[in-house]
Amino acid sequence: MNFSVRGISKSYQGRRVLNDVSFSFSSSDRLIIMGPSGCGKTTLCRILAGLERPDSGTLQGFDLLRLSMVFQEDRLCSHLSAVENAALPLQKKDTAPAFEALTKLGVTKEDLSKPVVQLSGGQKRRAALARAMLAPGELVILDEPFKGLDAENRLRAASFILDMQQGRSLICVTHEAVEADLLHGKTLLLPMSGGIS
Amino acid sequence: MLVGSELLLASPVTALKTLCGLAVQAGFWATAFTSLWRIFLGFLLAALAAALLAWMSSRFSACRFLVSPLVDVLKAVPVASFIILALMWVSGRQLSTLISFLMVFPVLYGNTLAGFDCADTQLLEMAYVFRLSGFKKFKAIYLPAALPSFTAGCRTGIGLAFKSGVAAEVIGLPAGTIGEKLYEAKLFLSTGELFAWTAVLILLSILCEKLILWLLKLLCRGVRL
Repeated sequence: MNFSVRGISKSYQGRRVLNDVSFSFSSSDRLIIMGPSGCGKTTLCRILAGLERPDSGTLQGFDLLRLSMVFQEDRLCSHLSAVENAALPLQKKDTAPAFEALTKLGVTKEDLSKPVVQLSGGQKRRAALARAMLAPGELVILDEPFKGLDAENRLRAASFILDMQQGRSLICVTHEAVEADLLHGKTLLLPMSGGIS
Repeated sequence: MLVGSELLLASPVTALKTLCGLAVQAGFWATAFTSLWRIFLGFLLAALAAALLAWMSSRFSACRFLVSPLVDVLKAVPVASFIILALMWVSGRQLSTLISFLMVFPVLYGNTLAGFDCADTQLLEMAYVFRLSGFKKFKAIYLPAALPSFTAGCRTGIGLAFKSGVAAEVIGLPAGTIGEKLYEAKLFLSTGELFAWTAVLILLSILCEKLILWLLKLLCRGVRL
């Protein structure tokens, strides 16, 4: 399956955030989109996820695509536990995969059943990452997945992402070169209000 | 001269003695239960209708458009007008149920709708991206958003149900109800009985509030709120 983004532009209140962005990738590709803060990385993720419409340009291959995502914010249901949040997109009620994934990500057993509102920022981030990687789909979008993680947990999270990609396409957005290196993907640079190079 | 007049204002001791005297009478519990059941039924029906219509209004603007004017009318019309009008439509027996329903519904509808409207938009986007089912979305996002304001509405609503329900009984005078007893207390200038039945009403209202809050707590535990 091939995905292509052609000439995407997006402005907010007269300020151009994305300008004629084009790139393509195929299934099981790993794409790292890098760029400085404010260059439109999150906007691009939102457009790819169907949460916003571009002002101009086209997306091909995304129509019937089932995807999962780590948002810039964790977006967890605060009253549910990390396990319940991670298992939320799963079809079956079985929470064992979520339990296993979070354990791999280094969340301790006693923290697994606490409501996420009681967890630290790093633990919440890992719960969001587990949810995205466990969810069924053909594309995973990760918007700054390592935010709030220390070096050890970053390594753990990167190896978890690589393990769980399982033939799916993956787009990861970051502004840290170190984080990009952890995922060994094709790197695309998104300059301030410009197209991808 | 008026001080100590049991006719005008019965002392708490007299009220308590009257209450104890009433409690051992055969008809007391039946009277209390009849009023309790009818008023509580009105409250329950209002809670169910409000929850359902608030959910539909939050999802479909046409439903909101149709229900909102009705709710505004219910809020503005005095309870006495409703009681007199309702007496022409329903029997005295069903009056307290209908009136407590009409008084509680707008409060609960408004509160619950405000709760649904406050559902976290970021979580709704998450649900859209992950294609969560309607049931999961309701349980994980909408229910936690609406339950606190629904609970607050229930606290206010139960007191309102008893006040309006008994007012309807006093006007409609259905047999074997607390409203009828209050009316008789007025007729026979028995302030002791008036206070005794008022105390019964307060107790019933508190008990119902506790029961509803306990049930809502169970529901919260069920959805892990």
